Amino acid sequence: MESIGVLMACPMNPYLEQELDKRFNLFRFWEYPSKPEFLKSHSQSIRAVVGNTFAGADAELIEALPKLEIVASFSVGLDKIDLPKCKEKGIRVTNTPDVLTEDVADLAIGLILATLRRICECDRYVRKGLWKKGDFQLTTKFSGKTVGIIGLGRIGMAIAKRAEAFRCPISYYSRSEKSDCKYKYYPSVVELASNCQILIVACPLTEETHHIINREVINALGPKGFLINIGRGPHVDEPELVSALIEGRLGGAGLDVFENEPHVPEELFKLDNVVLLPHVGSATIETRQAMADLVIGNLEAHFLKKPLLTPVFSGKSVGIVGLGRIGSAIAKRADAFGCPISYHSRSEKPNTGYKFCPSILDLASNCQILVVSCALTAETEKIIDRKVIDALGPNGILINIGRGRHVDEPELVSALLEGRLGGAGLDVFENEPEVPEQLLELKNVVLQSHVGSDTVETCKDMADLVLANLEAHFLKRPLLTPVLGDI
Amino acid sequence: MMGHQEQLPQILVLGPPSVFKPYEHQFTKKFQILKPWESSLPTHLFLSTHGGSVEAVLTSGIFPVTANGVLNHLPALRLIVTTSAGLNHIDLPECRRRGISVANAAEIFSEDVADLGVGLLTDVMRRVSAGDGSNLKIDGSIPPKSSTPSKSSTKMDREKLSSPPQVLMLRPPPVFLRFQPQFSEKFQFLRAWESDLPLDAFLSNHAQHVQAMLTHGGGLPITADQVLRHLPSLRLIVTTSAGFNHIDLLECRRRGISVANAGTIFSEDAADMAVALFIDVHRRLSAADRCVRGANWPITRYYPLGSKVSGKRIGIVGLGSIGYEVAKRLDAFGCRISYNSRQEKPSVPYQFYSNVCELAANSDALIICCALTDETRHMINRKVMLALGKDGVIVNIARGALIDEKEMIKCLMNGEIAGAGLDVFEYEPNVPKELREMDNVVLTPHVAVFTDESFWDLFQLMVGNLEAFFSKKPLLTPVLDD
Repeated sequence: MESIGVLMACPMNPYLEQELDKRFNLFRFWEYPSKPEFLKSHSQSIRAVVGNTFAGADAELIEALPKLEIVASFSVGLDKIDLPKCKEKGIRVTNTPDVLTEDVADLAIGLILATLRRICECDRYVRKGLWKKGDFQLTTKFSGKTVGIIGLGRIGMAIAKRAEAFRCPISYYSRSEKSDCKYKYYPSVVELASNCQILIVACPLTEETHHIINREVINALGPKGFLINIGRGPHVDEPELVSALIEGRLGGAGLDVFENEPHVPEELFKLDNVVLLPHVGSATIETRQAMADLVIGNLEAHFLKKPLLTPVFSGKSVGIVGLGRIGSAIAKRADAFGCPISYHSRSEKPNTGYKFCPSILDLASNCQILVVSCALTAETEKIIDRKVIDALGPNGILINIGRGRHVDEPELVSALLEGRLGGAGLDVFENEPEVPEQLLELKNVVLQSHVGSDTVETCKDMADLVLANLEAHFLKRPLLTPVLGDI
Repeated sequence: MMGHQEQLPQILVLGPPSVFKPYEHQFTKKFQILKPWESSLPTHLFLSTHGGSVEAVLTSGIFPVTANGVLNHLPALRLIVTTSAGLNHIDLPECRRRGISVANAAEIFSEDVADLGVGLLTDVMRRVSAGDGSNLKIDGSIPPKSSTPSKSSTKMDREKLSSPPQVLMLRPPPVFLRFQPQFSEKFQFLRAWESDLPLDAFLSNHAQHVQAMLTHGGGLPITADQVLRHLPSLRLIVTTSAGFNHIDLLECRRRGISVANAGTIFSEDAADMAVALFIDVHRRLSAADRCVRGANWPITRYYPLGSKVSGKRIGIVGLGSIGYEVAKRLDAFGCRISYNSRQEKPSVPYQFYSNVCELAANSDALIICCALTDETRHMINRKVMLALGKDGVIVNIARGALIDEKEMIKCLMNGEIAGAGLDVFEYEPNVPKELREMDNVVLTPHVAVFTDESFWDLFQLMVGNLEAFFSKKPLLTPVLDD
């Protein structure tokens, strides 16, 4: 694998760098004074990008790397990666969930304690020799305070578990209430902020959660309230936060992240009711090593054609033959399951967000589930032949809701019997109502009797349409759904 | 708050009024204060030099606010607030001429002053202070048997009529300073530190009848020689600390003196502090905060990483109330807890080690939560620290003398242990320079229980113990109860 070009977006970890260097042809993006020059010379050899919370893979970079197959992020957050672009180009994405959950939760509690009990301020006090002049002031107790968590994912839950040991009542906000959860749910961030003393941001950064902490939320938290941010800087309207802290409208803040790292608003440096950390949520020796091992593991898995360890698009990849009305409707539904979508059709369709494959072989090689949903024509007869079935492979699944004659049925049957194809879901057959007997015994196929549109509602709608078309014709009115004539 | 003092409105304080000092902290939060009494300049010179832009003055009821003395030196003055009801000390016509508003204390004192008036009347007529309760004939027109104040006088609490019980203090505990007015409502305090006399003379002259004493952990040691032999009537010592190593308990038992402490009210705050220091040392929070404030965000990929907290093996030295709260908290971080105590505690699910060296050898971090006694002095010595090892961390929220401090500094400097989080030191408030210059330690000025909440709880507990004693009820948090 030493010839495989891997681009590291910025310096992130010496151990990771070293290991990537050993295994791949590593390019350190920051070492090139002219990025455009670098891309011109090397873009053809780069098949993977390793990014983190500072630099990932934006649309521009993705477009500049035509051979890019995978982006492995040295982080759990994905806000620096253009995910829709990756989906569109069929680029795989991995991150580092779970291994850093505890560290980030530990840091959240550490930040709460440091902020409320003014530990950093105390440490400065002692180091400057001020203790000799007098006692330090009283601070604020943590145990028993109400804690509100925005985002009750892995990190949010780990924080809640720790805060509970300090006798803190826990409440939360998330996109929807979680069933089976003993913590109190609030349907809006403002309501959560009004009902807790310590508000913690622990959700992913998306368009919806940008500036989720705004003036209204800060005011609701109030002069005795504390904000703890271990999410992303853009979660918070930073200028609003700064003025609230200076004016005393907010009691204090513990911040590990900022809107424009490494820039930190200087007004914060003089405040004694804030703690400022340089994005160290997962910065421990143990965890960074585990994260690095995951990045390497994912890259190796990808290039050795093994399953990814921690893929972001966790749904199976779906390939659609024919992106017409039915194909698009299938794509929309599969997308909602988190499946990366690719398609083949006679020509590329603009702005679908899905990856276009100019050949059906290409499509079959790059997806796990192949769905036939094109029209049956002379060109598309037996479009699913031995080559395509082999490309789909022993872990692949064929779904046919088109026409039986789209598929070379004897080839399909022998592939299934020999285990060269993983399985099939078939609504249509070459010679309906005949179904090859061998299929009846197989456990990895599902057989339907051409029931694609067989619902009460749809049959009625179809019947109404047929009748209406007939009436229109005989009453010399325009046809409702003409295929030929009257166009 | 630091740094935005310039934006707070400025006030000049004259006197100062007695309400100012106890609430100085609250005043400072809202105003930038000019304090002429702290300057070596005579007041009128101070005012001319510094008072050019002063718009508001806070004065006591005694300080004369005259044209020559004050007003002429404050050209921008718009408001005088006096803490008294009376206004005779202020040249009102002059203020009216200059367009200066004046505000006073209005009626907020009326009840207290009226109470005092009635109290004085009753005291004199019923010889209350004289203590013999006999009646005083006022004149022929009043029945001789007893003189009772007329029904129209203010109805008073019996407590306010008789003098409040006396409590001795050698030095003021921080909680006393914080709640001085509230304490003074309930008790009459004998303040040894305010006297010019040496302690033994003060006690001999003034404290012979004193039955109760309020002390604190950082105060003078209460020994037979220095203190107790001068207090023949002493029956109770209340200390505002959980620790009582500063009190000679044996001597107290011999003399029949009860002792009460702060019980377990601090346990949560102290445990929170231990966890705070533990996380800070491992994750380098204070060091990182220093970096960021120095406008020195570490862009280099060689910035030192912290050490993971979750899952570490914790050795708690002393599993009392505080140690137990620490254990509960770190348990939730997936840490494995063991402990050393005078006796094993079968009811807890943690591993017991009978000696602290063994505990150290099996732990990644030691958290010291035990009492300081003759046996435990310097219990954390070189042997223990070497057993803990070069990746080991010590957290101390108990007493500085539990650790051989000189040895610890050596171990830290030689990398024989990795770091320390310390709230207490052998010779507070002196913290050795070597510690103050290290990057792998976190130092706090004995603030483990310094929260608003704990102080309020402590105030109530101290009052509760004292009141229990004076009404012959059982102490709330006895250490020794005779």
